Amino acid sequence: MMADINLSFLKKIHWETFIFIVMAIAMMSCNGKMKKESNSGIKTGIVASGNAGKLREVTFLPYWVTNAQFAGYYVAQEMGIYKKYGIDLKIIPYQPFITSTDLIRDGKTDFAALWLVNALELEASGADIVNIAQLSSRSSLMLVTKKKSGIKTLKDMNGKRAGIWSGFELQPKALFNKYHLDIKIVPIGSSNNLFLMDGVDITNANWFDEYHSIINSGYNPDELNTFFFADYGLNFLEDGIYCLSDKLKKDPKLCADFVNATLEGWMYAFNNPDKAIDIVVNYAQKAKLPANRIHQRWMLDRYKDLYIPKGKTTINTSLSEKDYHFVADVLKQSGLIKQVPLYDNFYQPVKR
Amino acid sequence: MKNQKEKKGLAFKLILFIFTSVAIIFSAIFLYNYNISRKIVERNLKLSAENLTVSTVSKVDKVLSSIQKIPDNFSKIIESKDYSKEEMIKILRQEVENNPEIYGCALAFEPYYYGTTQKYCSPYFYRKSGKIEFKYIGDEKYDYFTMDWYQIPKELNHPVWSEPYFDEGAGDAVMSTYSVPLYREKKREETVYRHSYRRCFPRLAAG
Repeated sequence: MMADINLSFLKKIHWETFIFIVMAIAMMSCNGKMKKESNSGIKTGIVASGNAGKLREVTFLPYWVTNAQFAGYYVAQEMGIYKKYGIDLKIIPYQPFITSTDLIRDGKTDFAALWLVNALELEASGADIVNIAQLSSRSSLMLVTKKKSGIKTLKDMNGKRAGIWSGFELQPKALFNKYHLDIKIVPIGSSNNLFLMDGVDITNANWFDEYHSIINSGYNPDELNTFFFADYGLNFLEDGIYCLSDKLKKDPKLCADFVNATLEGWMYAFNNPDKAIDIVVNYAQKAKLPANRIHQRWMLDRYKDLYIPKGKTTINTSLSEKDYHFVADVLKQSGLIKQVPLYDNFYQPVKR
Repeated sequence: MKNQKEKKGLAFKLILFIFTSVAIIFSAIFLYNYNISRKIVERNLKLSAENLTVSTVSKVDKVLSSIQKIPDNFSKIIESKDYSKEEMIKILRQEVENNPEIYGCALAFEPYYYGTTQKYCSPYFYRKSGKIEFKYIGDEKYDYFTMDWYQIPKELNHPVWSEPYFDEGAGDAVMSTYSVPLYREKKREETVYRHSYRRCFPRLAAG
């Protein structure tokens, strides 16, 4: 006995299913291929267009420990951007008690990141350094008070105690003098604990670092009052890239390549923050330093605000004569430097 | 035939209606139960977390309280009599020797306490490889005047435990420090200085 079954309906199902499966497989393999390409695309793209010659060995010195403050440099190194520009970069680890100013003055590093204030002091002390790119476009320095202390305005600070980092009194003193404030300065170290424990009424902080640490210690932003120095006419620019003048004269291309690679690293970091934080945390762990991802992300986001001016989409590396002289004049008036170095000697930007 | 079809249509509608109603009722019960259960679980979790925290704090407090007594008593001894520097150093060593739970102990004097040429003076005994080691801490690289363990009790005028930290340059270990401000009257020649109270801070590091 034979049984004939009408298979036309079944065949239809099978065909549809078959087509669906084929399409799904095709899509998956395409996606995988694209992912593979995009992951390797940056590196391979960079290597493919890279400098075919020997890599130039270069050292760079950050002025603080491994963290997102220097994300652009770590990212550029990790993503092969420096190699693309023909540079084999070694980032000198921060060492306590040995300042970046010491090392750059002694020629022990090719490039260094410095704040404008520190660089001016170094230049005025006789080190022939030049600013080849000014990265930060505004000051991150601020004063912080607790709302419960009743200090809402600068005037309210009169007669109060301010915890100011030992050795970094210049900007706060300039602010207090400008607004005729009588404030007792209590030199503090790098911790916020004296402020948190009500040992001082006011504390200084960097927007990208200590302010976030204070929030992480249990204060909500709406429980704090903040006073940015930039808002009170004391916009001291900060991070810049520096080298000895000799270096720039002997090898301007190397200096230009280093700056351009660094800028590319920073833009990559700002556009790919999660990847950038992965890289920074990895470097921090290698250096056996603690690294809190959330704090690092805050730091990176604030650095984006500091490096890319409002309304712009890229880093502006220029140092205006006005900003330069503003800082230099305050330093001279405070007696920290005797002479203001010539602007054109100090600021020698590389070709971009 | 037509009647059969009508009956089937009615049965289908009836079943669908009953099933839908039951499904809605069950969903409502399920959602209600889920919400209540979730609130109960969250409340219990919160309670457990609070109890665990209190219990852990008590355990830590028990350890820290016993250690706190040592510098508290030590400061009373130092304040009770005008000990010389050598005598104080001797007592300091004994504090570390006789209290194995302590990693180290230091006296940290105010700037220039022992003369205008000596800004820092802080004798420090600490344990290393089973022995008691000694050194003076304090210089331009180890400016203890701005360190939490010195500054906070000084500014607040009462004993304080520091946050844990790596004490690079002194103990070279991860530690927490209990500091007690103590006061001594210092006379110099026949003049009692206006700021005649000099403060010293015994610092005990509990590793």
